[in-house]
Amino acid sequence: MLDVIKVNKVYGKKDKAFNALSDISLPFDKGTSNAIVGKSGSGKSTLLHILIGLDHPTDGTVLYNGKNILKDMNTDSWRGKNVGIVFQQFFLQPNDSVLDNVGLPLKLQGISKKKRNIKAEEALKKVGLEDRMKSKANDLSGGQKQRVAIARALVDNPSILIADEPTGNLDTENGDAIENLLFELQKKLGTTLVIVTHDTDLAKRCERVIYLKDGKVEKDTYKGKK
Amino acid sequence: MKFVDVVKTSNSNLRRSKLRTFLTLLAISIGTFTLALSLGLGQGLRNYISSELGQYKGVNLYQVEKTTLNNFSGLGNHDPIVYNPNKSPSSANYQNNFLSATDIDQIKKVKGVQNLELPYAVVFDYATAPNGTKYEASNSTFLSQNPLNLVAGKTLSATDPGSVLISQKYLPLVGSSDISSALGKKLTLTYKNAKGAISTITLEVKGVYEPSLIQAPIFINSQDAEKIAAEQAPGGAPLFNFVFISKSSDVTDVQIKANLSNAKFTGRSFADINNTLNNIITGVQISLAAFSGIAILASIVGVINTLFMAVLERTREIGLFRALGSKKRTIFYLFSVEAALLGFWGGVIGIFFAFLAQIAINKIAANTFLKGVDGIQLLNIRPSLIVFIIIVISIITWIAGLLPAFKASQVDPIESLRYE
Repeated sequence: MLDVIKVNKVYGKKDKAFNALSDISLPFDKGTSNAIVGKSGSGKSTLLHILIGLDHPTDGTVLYNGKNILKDMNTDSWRGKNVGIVFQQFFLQPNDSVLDNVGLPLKLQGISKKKRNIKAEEALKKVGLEDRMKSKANDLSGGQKQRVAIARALVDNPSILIADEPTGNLDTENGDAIENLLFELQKKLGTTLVIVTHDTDLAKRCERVIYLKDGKVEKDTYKGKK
Repeated sequence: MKFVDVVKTSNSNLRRSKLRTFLTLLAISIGTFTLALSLGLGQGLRNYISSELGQYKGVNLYQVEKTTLNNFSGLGNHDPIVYNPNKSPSSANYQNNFLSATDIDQIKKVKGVQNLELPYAVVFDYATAPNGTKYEASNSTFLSQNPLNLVAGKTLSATDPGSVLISQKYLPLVGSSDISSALGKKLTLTYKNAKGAISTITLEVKGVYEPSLIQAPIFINSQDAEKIAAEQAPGGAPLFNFVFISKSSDVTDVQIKANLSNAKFTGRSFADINNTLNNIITGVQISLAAFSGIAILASIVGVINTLFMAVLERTREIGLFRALGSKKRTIFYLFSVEAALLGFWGGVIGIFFAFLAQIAINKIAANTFLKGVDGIQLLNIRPSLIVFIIIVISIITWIAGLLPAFKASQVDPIESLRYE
């Protein structure tokens, strides 16, 4: 479904050039859970940004269902409709209601308030926060905030769910709960999950683990299409 | 993102930094306030002049004077001027601008001049009311084409000796309390002749007219005016700076002015006078609006600063929006609409206070320096003017916000998501 083909990313020029990613080719199959693991500076975040079209590779392409996400489609619209993103720092609008936060991606797509409220309510039910719809995001605990962020990522039923260190800002108890929720929803909804983490325990819960080191794939547990 | 959501989001973003928004709105509203007042003042004066001179519309009356007026170069503080035989001789007291008997005859002979009337300047010391009270008696000589809004009686004919017209406000001078009873009453006027001897003339009220700012409160018939003016003139012959003419129907407005001009006279209709006054008001209005423009210009700097600050503060939010699928142009719209909304709300606040000021100033004016002058609204901020100002201010601030909005749209989403 999502294919990274011979991607290179070079920062700087000539003698100051730095290879953040070197010759990366990775297929991401529909409905699978994938973890990208590596130390700081291994190229995880760069790969993530290229995967969702926020950054451009120096060489190589990223295909979504066979189409180049940068050339064959409007990347912003594609990302808005097909990719849900969960950040480590939650990135909620603190003074907006939980419902408005969850409906934000739909608002950016130009969907009416009535429709987005219905969808946001459904998404909040999935993460068990339907009773906090009208609360301000700022009034929630860290675990609840990340649940809201997951609901926001899933509000438009994306085919790809990207989670960038989703438990990095949470205590163990809340972290475990968020992990369970992510995997439960991924299975239930059939979403392709890509988790970027340095937490190997979290990574091992995924069907596939990609180890990155110095911008190269050190190890990939990919076993081919199911 | 739908436009209505862009507007709602931009509007709610204004509330994030309340103090900064308040100060920016204050600056814009001060500019708008002064702009509204200056334009309202011009409109008020223009309306009044139009209403006053409106009664002269279509009236066949031209004020004619010499064209050979010298340019004023100060009475004496200039170098000696070499004599020019083609130029009218100058005089410190400008007596040469008076029309001679020959000039008046010449005007009568200009093609298209149908009738010439002399505006005798008569000075009365006072008018004596039946109860003995003495009043000032400012007056004009009645001209046959003079348009008056009569509320009772008849207008005067070209001569009509022994008769007078008075304004509705001058009823006490003839001891009347209502308009109809004033007709036929006697108005006693006292004046001095050229040698200082006191004389009295009694005239009968033929008509009563609505008072107005530019019409004298008493119009006396031209025959008596001629007689008294002759008595009051030191040489026995009254002098005139200008005369009034009416044109015959076979010449146009342009033609009569051209004919007078060829004879070295200048003829001006009341429409011309109206235009001249309007031009003066427009000039004053532009000057005042220019000062308001400076205030608005200063507030624009505030708008730009406010938006640049907002872009910095919301860098992470911009990154989030971009990551969630927002297009660059949506970010641009959000910030540029925010700038336009600053102008809109600043305009609304400024207009609101200008409106309150208008009510207060008009009330104060009506009770002080415009007391007794009916029908004048010193300030007149019309609804169309309000809409115009708010739209213009919104457009100006929108333009001011284009650069910060462009900068916001160019924010790198990856960097901005890392931004602390």
